[in-house]
Amino acid sequence: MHPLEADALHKSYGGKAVLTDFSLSCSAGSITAVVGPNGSGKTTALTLMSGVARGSGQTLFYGKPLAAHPFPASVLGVMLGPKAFHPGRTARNHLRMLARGAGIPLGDVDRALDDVGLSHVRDAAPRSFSLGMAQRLSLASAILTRPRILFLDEPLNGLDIYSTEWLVGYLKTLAQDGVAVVVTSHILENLDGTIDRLVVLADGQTIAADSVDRLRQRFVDKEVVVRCDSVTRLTHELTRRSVAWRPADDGRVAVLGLDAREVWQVTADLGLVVLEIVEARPTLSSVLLQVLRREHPEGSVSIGGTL
Amino acid sequence: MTAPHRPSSPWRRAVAYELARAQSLKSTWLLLVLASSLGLVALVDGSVYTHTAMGRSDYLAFGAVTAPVASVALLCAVFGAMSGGHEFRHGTAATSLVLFPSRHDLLLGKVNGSALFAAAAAVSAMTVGLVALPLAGMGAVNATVLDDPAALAGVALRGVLVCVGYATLGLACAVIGGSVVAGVAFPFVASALVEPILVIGLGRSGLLRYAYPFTEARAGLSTGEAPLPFGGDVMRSSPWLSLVAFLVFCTVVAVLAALRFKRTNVN
Repeated sequence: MHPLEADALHKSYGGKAVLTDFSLSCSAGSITAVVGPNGSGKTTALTLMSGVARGSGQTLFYGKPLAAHPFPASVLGVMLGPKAFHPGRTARNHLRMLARGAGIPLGDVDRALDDVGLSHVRDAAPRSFSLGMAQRLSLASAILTRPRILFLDEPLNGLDIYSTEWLVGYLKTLAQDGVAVVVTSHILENLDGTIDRLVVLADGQTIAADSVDRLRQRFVDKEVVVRCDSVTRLTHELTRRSVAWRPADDGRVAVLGLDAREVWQVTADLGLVVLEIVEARPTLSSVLLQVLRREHPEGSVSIGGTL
Repeated sequence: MTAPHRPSSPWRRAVAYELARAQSLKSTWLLLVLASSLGLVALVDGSVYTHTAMGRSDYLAFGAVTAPVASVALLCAVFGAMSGGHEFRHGTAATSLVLFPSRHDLLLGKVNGSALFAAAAAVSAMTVGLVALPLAGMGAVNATVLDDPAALAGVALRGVLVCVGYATLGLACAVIGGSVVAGVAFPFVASALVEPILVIGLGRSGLLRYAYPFTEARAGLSTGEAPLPFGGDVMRSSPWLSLVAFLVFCTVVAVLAALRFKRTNVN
């Protein structure tokens, strides 16, 4: 029995479908990322599965609806916003309140604060917290009851590099402990190597759902990172030739689906001076870009640009 | 799955959650202190000293009990509105909902928590009033009052229930409107809008004649002696019947809130 099985979830607002026929199955110890452009239905999927939003379809947690579990918080933990707490209530009191509702010992509160690295501010009101600290407190709320399934909505938003590294490591630890993690994000680079399964949404529809490795094989097997003296001319030419690309760090361009020799040829045709050219393993962003380009060409993100 | 260490029924957990929620906010204690201090309204309320057929001291005690109720009820509506509205305003509703099998568990916990607050606020305000009047040298709660303790207790009980009703109204309206503002505003426009509509729809014959005006709870707090003006008419209301009408009104709004809460998209 899978910890989580969602089937045919559907949600409309004012007659407009924002999520259509969404299904998801997660095994224990897996990390699944639900990804897609803004407005694609990622958050709606989490809120529908958790029962926070109402719609049609069915979600089972260990074979039963969440409402059939007498202590739902021991099954599912949710983090559906970066600042889901009263700004004037101390971090410790916020978690104590949730502990009372969940029926767990108050001692677990300090353990959760330790886990997310907020012990030193446990008696501080979170109105003074940075975004990273706020994210950690929201995460502490979700893991307080040691749930076996965890929903995290955009947990990497606004985090600095240290907090990001910590959170990604923490997700891996949770998965190793058997927790099924479902995470939405539009920041994919930091999750590379962490995610087992990718579900790609566009305009409320699932356009791809598979393991990351299989999606890589299927959609983008080659990626070349190149730095040259005119990125603008290169990207214009790539777009003209219908070659997918995305901006990479340090002013470089990642070209998808071509090998180094082919990219070199394009730059030579333009008379560009190549300063660096490296064949790389396609990143998650590249995979997502290619999935969107091929499976959802009518979407706003079809080729190039940032997600 | 992790077994909870202290299993208890969902509604008991919901009440514990709500009490922990309220206790951990400064605004709760501020409202409670404010409500208690409103007992001192009796010192400046001219009607407290008016002689009636029951005698000055009697009326003094009744006045001390009833004088702060309207203001305390207002604070109770604010508390109820905060209890429901803060969950939406601060985005905690999603986390809270997952704690309980049913959304109604959470709502029931909030109704109970708000009722406890309202009762505490009303009793403390009345106590302050009863203690402050003799201390201020403005009369004494003497034997005349104690001759009819049941009547005094009845008024006090109605005052407490009025406050509980307003707390429930505030909570219910905040849930329906999805905001604290809705919970604070609606109870105060209800008497201006709801009762005239009911009068038009249901008339004012039969038992209803004795129930108006109920939304502002004036009749529920009267001793049944004085006729109350209402809609260009003078109503000789029954205090208990009026209170029952008010509590039925509160219950109807609470049921509407429960129905709304069951279907609403929280996040």
